Amino acid sequence: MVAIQVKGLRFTYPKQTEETIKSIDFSVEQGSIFGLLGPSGAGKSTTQKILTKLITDYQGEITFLGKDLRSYKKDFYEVVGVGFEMPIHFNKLTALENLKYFAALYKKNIDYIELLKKVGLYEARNQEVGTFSKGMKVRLNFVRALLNDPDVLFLDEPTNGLDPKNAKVMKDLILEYQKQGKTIIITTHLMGDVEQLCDQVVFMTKGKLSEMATPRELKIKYGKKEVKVEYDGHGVTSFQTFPLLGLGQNHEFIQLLQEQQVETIHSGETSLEEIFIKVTGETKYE
Amino acid sequence: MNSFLHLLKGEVLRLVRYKIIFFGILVSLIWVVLIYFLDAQTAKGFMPFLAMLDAGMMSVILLGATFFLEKQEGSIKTLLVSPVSLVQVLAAKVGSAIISAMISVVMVLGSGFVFHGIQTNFLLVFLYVFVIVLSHTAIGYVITLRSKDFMSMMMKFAGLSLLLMIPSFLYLLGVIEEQLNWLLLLSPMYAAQYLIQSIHSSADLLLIVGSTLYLALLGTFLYGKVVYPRFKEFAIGG
Ligand SMILES: Nc1ncnc2c1ncn2[C@@H]1O[C@H](COP(=O)(O)OP(=O)(O)O)[C@@H](O)[C@H]1O
Ligand SMILES: [Mg+2]
Repeated sequence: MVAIQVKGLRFTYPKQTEETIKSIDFSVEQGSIFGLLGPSGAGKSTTQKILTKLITDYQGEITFLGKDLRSYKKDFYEVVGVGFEMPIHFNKLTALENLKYFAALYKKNIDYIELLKKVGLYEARNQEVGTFSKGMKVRLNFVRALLNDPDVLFLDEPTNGLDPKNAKVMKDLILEYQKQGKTIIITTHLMGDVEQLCDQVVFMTKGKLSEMATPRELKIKYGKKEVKVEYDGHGVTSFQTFPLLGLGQNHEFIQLLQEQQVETIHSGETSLEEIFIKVTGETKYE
Repeated sequence: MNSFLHLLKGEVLRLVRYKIIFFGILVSLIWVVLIYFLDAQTAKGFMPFLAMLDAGMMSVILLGATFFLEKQEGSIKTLLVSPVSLVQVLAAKVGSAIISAMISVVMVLGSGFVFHGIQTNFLLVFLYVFVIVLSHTAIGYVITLRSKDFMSMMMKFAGLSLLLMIPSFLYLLGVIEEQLNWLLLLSPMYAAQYLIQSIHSSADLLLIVGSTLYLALLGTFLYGKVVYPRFKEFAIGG
């Protein structure tokens, strides 16, 4: 089932002449993790603001859980969770005071104490948020986004500003949340996030979208279709590359395997980063 | 309603935590000292002006400071993705402004009673403070939504205040023709002062009712037509 269907979405900020979102189409399957990937300034956060009804004067059609997004009132936020990339808490209130305050606005709550423990903020719960580091604020934003146990969760750059350990914790929690049947939409400029999390991904550049695909499909489609064999050629490491197509019948390849001391074999792994450059025609990423 | 009360409680808690309310009380304390040193007659003439400063001007300054602080923190965004309506959010902000204005006005008018035995009907005061705060915070938001930061908002407000306070000064100087009084009441600041003053001194009932309705309608109109439609976009925008 489709959770979100976007058709011909366009948006221009007031006082701006150029469209920030230039007629994009995509759909998000229920229960999937959908990635909106692109360099900064591409329009990812703007798209998220539109999908979460913070921006309402867009053009185009957005269907959210079977109904026109525009028809939703404040109850929309009972089933939606929004994670922002910027800090969003009251600095002079403690983490726990902030969470309690927002939690009371919902009909349904998760066990946020438990989640505070999982993201490693439990010890800091009675500390004013103003004293938090950037990474702590990012993690608190995540807890805040999950407060109402949302069916559809939006996360804007959820791992940005986190050290590798905490980024890993965050990604595991996102995957765990998906297992409960939730739909998650992630915007990110980090290839790693997409590779490890997303079922579907689109590239966004300058307000436009590439085709939608799975990270794996992209790699198969755009990846180099060859293997590279490194072997010991009289004391120095030499290498040869062979096309993947008909590799089993490739005599040179088989001969090499039989006659040389093979050190490594790699299939051509194109990183998503290289694919991004190919797909979008951008010469440089970031 | 439940959400509104919860939002209001949060607004008041933040007034305290961000020490915004103490700033208001500090200013009122200065007025209290002033009233102590004035003789009864002068105090009676001056108190409505001071109460207008508190309920009218101070609430705009506190509102501007709070708004830009919350915008900078991003905390306003979190509220806007919660299951509360913008009407509830704005109502809670007006509610907390009324509470802090009442504290200041009660300090001013209360000290008039303590030092000079000037009696006050606080039920009427509450009604007047309600419409004064409603209209003045509406004006405050209209200015805020056109300013990039607190400083530029304050500059615009200072300019507007000078203009709107001309009637109050004219009144203090006693150079108003009786027949022209209603014209001066078009200045919300003067209307505010007139209402508070009507509690202690004789005043025209028609002008009292007119001023009350005028402030109530002005506030409702500005909130409905200017603040409400633009608030969300401005609060989340860059
Ligand atoms: N409030 C705003 N007003 C005008 N332009 C904006 C605003 N917010 C973002 N933009 C512009 O829109 C473009 C897309 O921004 P954004 O959606 O934040 O990109 P991303 O999240 O992909 O980094 C950028 O060029 C940015 O400068
Ligand atoms: Mg962004």
